[in-house]
Amino acid sequence: MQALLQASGLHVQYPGSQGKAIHALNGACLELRQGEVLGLLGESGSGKSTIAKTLLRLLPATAQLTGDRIEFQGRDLLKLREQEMQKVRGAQIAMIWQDPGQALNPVMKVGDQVTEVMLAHRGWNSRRCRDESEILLGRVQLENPERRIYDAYPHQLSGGQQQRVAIAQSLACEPSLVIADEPTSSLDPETEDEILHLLRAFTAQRKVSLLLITHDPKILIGLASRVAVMYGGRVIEEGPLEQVFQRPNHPYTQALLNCVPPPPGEPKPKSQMGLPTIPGSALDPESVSTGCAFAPRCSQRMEICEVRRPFPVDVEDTSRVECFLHGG
Amino acid sequence: MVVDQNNQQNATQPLLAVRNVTLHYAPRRFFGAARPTISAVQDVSLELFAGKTLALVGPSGSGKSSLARCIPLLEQPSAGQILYRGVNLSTLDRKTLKTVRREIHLIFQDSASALNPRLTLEEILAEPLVIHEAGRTAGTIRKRICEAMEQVELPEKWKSRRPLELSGGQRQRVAIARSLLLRARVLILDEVLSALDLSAQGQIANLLLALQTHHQLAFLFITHDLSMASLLADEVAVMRAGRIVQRGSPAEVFTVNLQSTSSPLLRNSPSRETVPATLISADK
Repeated sequence: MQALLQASGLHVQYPGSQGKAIHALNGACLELRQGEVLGLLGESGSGKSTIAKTLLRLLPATAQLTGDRIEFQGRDLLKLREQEMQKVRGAQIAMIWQDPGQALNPVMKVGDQVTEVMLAHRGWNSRRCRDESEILLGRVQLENPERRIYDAYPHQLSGGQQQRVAIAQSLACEPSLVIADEPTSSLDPETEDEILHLLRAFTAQRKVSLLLITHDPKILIGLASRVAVMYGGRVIEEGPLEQVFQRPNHPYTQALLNCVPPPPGEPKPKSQMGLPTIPGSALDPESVSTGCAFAPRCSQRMEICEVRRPFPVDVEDTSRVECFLHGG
Repeated sequence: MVVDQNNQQNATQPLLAVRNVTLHYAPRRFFGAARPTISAVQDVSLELFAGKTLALVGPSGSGKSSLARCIPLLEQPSAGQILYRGVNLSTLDRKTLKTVRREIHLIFQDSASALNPRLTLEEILAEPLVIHEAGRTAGTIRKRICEAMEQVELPEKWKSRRPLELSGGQRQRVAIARSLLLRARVLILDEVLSALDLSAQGQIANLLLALQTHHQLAFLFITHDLSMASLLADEVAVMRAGRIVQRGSPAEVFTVNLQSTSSPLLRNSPSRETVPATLISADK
């Protein structure tokens, strides 16, 4: 499959306390293929959301971004001027944020917010944009017989309905890539199921590539074809979902997947109820390690792990892992 | 007085009982136009026992958090009773109610907004002692804070840190430490694990279980994570549209759905078959 997006060597720093720098990305590399759903998995602070903002060049002004390249459809996004970048955002790469309540404008009708995206990028007249928005809102199953959803304000909709509006907004210009940052984390399981179903249907029908960011591996099952696991601002393992979930190579991936609680309906006696956790605490983003970032928490740590960072190596021809246990 | 009663409760007697509680919200008039009353909780009854966990599950808007706010009378129920150690809380005067409230604690999902960002951990933890145990010396307060921080596995040297310098899991530990300081007997845990990573969820769940065993705490565990409800609860109550529609052991409420795959994670995929039928709306 042809690569849609290739990002390599991305470094992002924020100013921290007492003159120290917060290292959000430490040479992250990411590849997304045409029409595929890639799950980006990791704990809070691993750099998942920063990578999304970096791809769209939406980092705050205080952030320092350096990188080799972000190649998207043959163009290096790092070299584009801001005006050119504005034509990419929304039109070619769209974003679905974690909290739709904050992502939508509270004083604007939701239909107009979808129309606004079309007016900015599609070159249609306002009448056509309005009609297309109504059709799109219907496609994301936003229908209300008593009142037109188009005329509703965000506060009049439930969290699930707001997220459907955000999905309609992201698809308004038929982008090649949609980035969804924890799109279901504020929703209950029933609504989460519906939103994931909707994303699955749209990506399959329209051949849209999806970068789905989450801390919960369960979300990716049945949706993502490949998974990239992040830790300490780097992608430390990536490969096909079945392979990564059934035969994880990196000790961090193994520990993370081990933390997933068993399905409901399998209660354990209280004496055995200790839940698995990853020892130690998450990486301090103000510290800079010359070795593997996971080494202090790793149960299979070796001397070399603290000396230098492992190189990425291919495993089983389809996966890639950064770990000395696999020859890195 | 209620709080002076013997802590040794009969195991068959509930520590806290909610009897036929109903809560209506009467919205303000909008430009003179009357708006219909919203029934958040309707005729709900449940019991919490010392050392046991009752999980309350249900979709958003089903009334879980409204019920949680009714228990320590942060919301006055429109009808029904909240009985703590057999005493109806609505009949207590303000001073007695204050002493009862130190034993019934609410811990919220968003730990960042539950803690004052301007205060240090030491000031946050001292606050409940200053309110409820006036007259204690600064030395005693410091000692109690150190003990509580040790119990929730927070290093003592972090006393001068502020909430936003901590991770979500660490902030939840501070919220739990605040309850321990006042020797709470009932913890109402409103989505306390929802905003955390899987590993932090496990750490906080293990901490809560250890504290429950040690202090014989009663938990009302409000969640929409069915796996966690199944794992942590002795009993599960399913709430929908303000009513409890199903109650039972986790095994009874969640239909076991073992699929034939070697990976425990892949067995864990969200499946309608493991979701109680009472949680799925009739129109789907």
